[in-house]
Amino acid sequence: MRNQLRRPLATISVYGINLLHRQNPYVVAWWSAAFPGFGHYLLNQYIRATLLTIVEVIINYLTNINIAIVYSFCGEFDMAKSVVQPRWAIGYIIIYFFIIWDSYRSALVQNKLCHLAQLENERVAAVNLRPLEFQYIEPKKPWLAALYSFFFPGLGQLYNHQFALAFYAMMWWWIYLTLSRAHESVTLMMVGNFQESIAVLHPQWLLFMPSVVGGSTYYAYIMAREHNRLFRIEQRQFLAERYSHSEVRLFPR
Amino acid sequence: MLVIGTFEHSLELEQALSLLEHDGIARKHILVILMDTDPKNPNQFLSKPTDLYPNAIEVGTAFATACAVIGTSVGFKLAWGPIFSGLSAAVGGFIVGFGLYLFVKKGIHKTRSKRLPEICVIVQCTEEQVELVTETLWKFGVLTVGRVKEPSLRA
Repeated sequence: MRNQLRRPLATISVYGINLLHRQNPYVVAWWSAAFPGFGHYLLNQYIRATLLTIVEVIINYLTNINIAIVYSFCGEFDMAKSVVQPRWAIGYIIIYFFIIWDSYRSALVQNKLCHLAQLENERVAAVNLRPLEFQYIEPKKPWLAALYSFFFPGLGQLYNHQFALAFYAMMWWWIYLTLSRAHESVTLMMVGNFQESIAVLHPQWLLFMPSVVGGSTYYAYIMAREHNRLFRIEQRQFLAERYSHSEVRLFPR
Repeated sequence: MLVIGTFEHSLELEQALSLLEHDGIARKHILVILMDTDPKNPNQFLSKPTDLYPNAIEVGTAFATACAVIGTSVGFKLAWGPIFSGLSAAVGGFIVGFGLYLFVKKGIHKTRSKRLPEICVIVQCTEEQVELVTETLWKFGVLTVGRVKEPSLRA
């Protein structure tokens, strides 16, 4: 079955459902800007997206980009200038903008591929039952997916059956939590110790977190929605096929 | 007799159909009609202008993330600290983005009811089977059910 269809709309593998969906190229470009690599997750290019996110964390850390952002928004421009590492900064900027452009361009192409796949209307598989995994299309609640990822990035992906991506995201969230000490800070704030709650935070790692929460939440929402659409398409293909020879006559002659 | 039921797309729908066939309703006595819930192309993947709230959420999340980064940064200078400042900036950003989108697009769209009859199932059966068919449909999440004698058989 695999690789036989010229223009498949979706495929179900051990790692979950991969599907073509039309999306606004500007939105894809925006997520690439928020966190390089996120745009490529939206484009279903998981391997390169994952490598891009790793590159982003490493280079951003070496260049002190996040610390410079904090200083800049706090108005301390001299400090911002002094922390940025010039030996990494220019390369970072070149790659950063390339990624945004590449995801924008790919979104335009994929929209066309998606249109073609829709017109071909090739049969979509409903399940993939394997010795160690079971993947299937099922109706989802997009709001629930978004909520899970908001509280702990990765959980929404787990809800959407993308377990490899889910555990990758959860691993990073644990790393961010550990290095930024965000949950410790929240605990200190709960008991009213505001001064210390700010002091324990590490800005370099904390500043990765808003983009990751945002991206993960958005992605979980979109994927749950697309799963619903795919479920609908697959069921329609099935019903049209199975009941095409109905002999029910509403007005018999 | 004809029993007519309307469904949303769901796994239960397939359960109902399979069970009817299992209980002796011939496949050829079942007619399934795929209803369009939209004036155009039912298999459309493209977000439509009627996708008002999903589009607003897209804009809202984008705003929220941008505001969260700024809010977190500025928060290092504020009494409440970066986490609360970042979170409240995110919530604020989402509301602004979501609200702005709805405000700009308002009036172009009609609101639609949540549960639409996307599938219409017509089952031809004998008088004795009517109860069985109706019960099966109700058990598996049918939205509405109607029954009628075949028009030609009416006295």
